[in-house]
Amino acid sequence: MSQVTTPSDTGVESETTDPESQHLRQCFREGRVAVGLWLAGLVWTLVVVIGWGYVPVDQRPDQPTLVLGMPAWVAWGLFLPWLVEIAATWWFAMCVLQDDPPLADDEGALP
Amino acid sequence: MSLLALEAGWYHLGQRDYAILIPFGLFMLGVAVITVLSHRHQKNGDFRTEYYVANRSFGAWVLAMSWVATLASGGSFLGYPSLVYSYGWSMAFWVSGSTVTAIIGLGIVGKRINRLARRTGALTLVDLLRDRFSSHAVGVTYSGVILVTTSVYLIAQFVAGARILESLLETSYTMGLLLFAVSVVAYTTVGGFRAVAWTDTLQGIVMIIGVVLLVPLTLSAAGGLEQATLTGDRSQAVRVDPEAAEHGVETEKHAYLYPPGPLRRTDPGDGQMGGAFLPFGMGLSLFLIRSLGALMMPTTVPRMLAFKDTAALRRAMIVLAPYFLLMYGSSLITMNCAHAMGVELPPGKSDQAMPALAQKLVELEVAPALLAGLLIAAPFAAVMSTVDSALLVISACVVRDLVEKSFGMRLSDVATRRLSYTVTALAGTVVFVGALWIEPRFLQPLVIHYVGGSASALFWPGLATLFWRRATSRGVTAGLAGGGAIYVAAIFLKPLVDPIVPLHPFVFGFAGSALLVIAVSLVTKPQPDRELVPYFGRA
Repeated sequence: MSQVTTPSDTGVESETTDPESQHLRQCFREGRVAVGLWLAGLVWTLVVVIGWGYVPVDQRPDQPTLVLGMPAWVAWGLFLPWLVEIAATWWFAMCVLQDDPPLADDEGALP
Repeated sequence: MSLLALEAGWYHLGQRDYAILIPFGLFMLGVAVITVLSHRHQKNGDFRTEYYVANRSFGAWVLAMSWVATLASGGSFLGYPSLVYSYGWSMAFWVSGSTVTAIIGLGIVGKRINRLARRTGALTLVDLLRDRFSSHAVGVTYSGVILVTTSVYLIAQFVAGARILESLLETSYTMGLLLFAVSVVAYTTVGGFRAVAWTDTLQGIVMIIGVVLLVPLTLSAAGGLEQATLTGDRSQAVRVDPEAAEHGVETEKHAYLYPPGPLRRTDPGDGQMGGAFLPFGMGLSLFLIRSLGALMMPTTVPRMLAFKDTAALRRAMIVLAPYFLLMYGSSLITMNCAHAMGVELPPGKSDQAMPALAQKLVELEVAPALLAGLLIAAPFAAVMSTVDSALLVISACVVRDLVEKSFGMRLSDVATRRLSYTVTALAGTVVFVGALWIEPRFLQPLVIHYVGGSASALFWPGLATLFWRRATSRGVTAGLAGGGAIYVAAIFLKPLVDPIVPLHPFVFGFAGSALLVIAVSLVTKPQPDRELVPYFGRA
């Protein structure tokens, strides 16, 4: 017959059941995703802006390339990633952001 | 408007002007009604919890709208449009960091701050920081940084509010400033945080309706975006720098379509950035400021303490995500159409470009006058929503963080109420005087100084307090004071540093603050585990 162990026997109670630890770990998980999305936005913007935005004066075309009436670098470097980040934020809110474990009854405002 | 004023000839308003004023007046009436209703709430329950965090009762819409309305200030609705009006599409890089503001501003710290505030009973972020370390030094330093940065910000917003009324009522700057100050200070003082949040919600909705309507009307008046862009590209030499144009200074090819934008030859200090308005280093700095600055901004953080649950935060993020695109995308499109529509403002008056555009639409009979009133109410709402929040931050900082907590004075509910009202009104008066003295040419750089300065000092200390067990009070204090000091030093050393590393002073303050928090925390004695349990659970 196998021996039943409780969390307190193994010393892992604090990591598995403590609401504050659970909350903190979840915040770190969500934070990593948010930082990843921020980094992706930064890299995309910089690549497009350096490549198509900061063009030396002597290399600028006589007829500027326009997309939907705006300079191409604005369309691809600002508006496109913006739409992608909006979708990513919705995904983050609906799929990544988790509800917190409730505050225990004995945990009210500290003195 | 009094009969006396009309007889004195202060105003020469026609039928169209009154039609513009009606929706504007209705908006102000809505603000007044909300203030009265909010004031009634203060009579129930604990005054402090109600006045500063509205009993932590915000749902998704109030959280989303009040957060974005506070973040979007006169800088967003007057300052940034002014820059686009003056420098064209080259200013697009300026707002690129806003693509990720919602997820960074709410996704990383929102839930954490809210839970810790409920757990510890904190009413302000300063409460959280000071209580975690049991350190008055942290509380006083944090409060000091907030007071300085928020006051600078308020001056810029007062100027913006005054300029809108100056343009709308065809009155003097001083009269516009006085009207603005009296109305905003009154409802903030009387209504407290609930009035601020509810009016912010109304203002956030007015703002977005205004900007969304503006785009099709402007495109219609300008004959399409492509035509407006090409017209603007051809006629820009006189935009920014009429003096230079008169002296035969040529603008570079397509300078208004590509960054770094046109050279500025007549402004003092142009040489500091190589003469261009937005060199790459500055653009990169702005991406960082606009995306990271919202995380610990003193005016937006109080919302994190006031929403009721994670579901509200989740729905607020869904609402907020497209808001910034609508707001800044609209400014980019409409202001690049302004010249094609014949909106021409004298040098130094480009901060009035947005209200001038709305009035131009009426002149061209593209928009009815009633609609123009709404369009003008939008930037005014943005300014008001930021000012009320900032005034309340100052009040909380002085009454709650300094008088009650740091100096240990025990005040009755009645005394707290009176002191809060007095400080809010006094702060408004001081900023009013400041706005009389300082009238910047462009609002936006002043706004960026607020965001950059506060983020330099507050970002890493705030983050370390919330997430890093090993952070110490000395480390956080060093990050707060050092980040702010490095930021100020970098402003003064800009002429020397720019030729080597052309970055905004924020980058130096931000990096310096991070190093100080980490280094000083690691060499000082760690906090005892038992003190950390309420914040991090059992180790």
